Amino acid sequence: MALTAPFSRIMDNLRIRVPGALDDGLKHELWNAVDEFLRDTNVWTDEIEFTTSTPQDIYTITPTFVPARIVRCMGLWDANDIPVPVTMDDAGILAIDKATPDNSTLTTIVTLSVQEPVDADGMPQLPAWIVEKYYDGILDGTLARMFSQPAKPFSNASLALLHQRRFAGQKGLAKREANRRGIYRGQAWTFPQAFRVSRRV
Amino acid sequence: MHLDTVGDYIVDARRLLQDRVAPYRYPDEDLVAALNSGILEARRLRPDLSLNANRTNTYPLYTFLTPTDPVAFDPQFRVALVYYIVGRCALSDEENNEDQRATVFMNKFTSQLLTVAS
Repeated sequence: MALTAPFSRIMDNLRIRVPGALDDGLKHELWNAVDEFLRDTNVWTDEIEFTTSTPQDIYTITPTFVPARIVRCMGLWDANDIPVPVTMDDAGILAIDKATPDNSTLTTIVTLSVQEPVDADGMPQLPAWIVEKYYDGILDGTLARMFSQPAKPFSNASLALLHQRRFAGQKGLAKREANRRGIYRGQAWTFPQAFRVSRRV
Repeated sequence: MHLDTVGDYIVDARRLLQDRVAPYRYPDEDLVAALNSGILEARRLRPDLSLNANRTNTYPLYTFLTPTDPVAFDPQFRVALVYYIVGRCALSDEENNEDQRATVFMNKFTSQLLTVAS
């Protein structure tokens, strides 16, 4: 899946707000800020299906987005939407803790973050909607990192702190939204499906 | 763009050194050696100027024999590099007034890399 994010406006803003900064340096910290944002908020998710084969209980999964890396597993479900106990100590390697029938299809939702290589313009590759929706957060995160660099024309501890606080706020908002799947006052949890009274088909 | 090639740096440095008429006081070889040193000094002060080179630890080495070679340096700091070339050449002089001039240019190089108002 092609990933093209609209970074030109963010770069314009950064160039104006950080005099003396180099484009390469800005892109470097932009990548770091985007990575931190995605790792901390779970906004970028990917649904991956795979088929079981007994007696195997370890499965390696890869994101459908390329390039991207798996951060954490949000859960594993069987074809009837029943949760399957699973652990993921190493990113992308699922260890299923329960015997599953052969040839059954399991679905996992994982969260993703950016991974190298960067695109032709040196930008991280991620879905455009994330950059558009969380524009302020990504901008604040990059500014905080730039201003906190030592011995630079743009070093500024107080501005670094200000933008770090704003970045933390934006991350909190994004995390709540991701938790509620983008629904205002949406339910942040689901009843444990192992205890449900009837089976959905 | 201004200051694109090795030759551009030589011409601009000669202007500040007031050494534009041959035979020159400072040979091209010395000016280009100062350019190479300036790039290494800039890397020390501003590692972000050479992110790709830092990974491989290979930095450009220019020669006065190929003045049309492009110098890969961020446009914001090209003038600072000229100041370094001038300052370093002036350091090689033994006259007292040149020492003072050299210090001014070397300090200007440093302050342009590290401060906005410089």
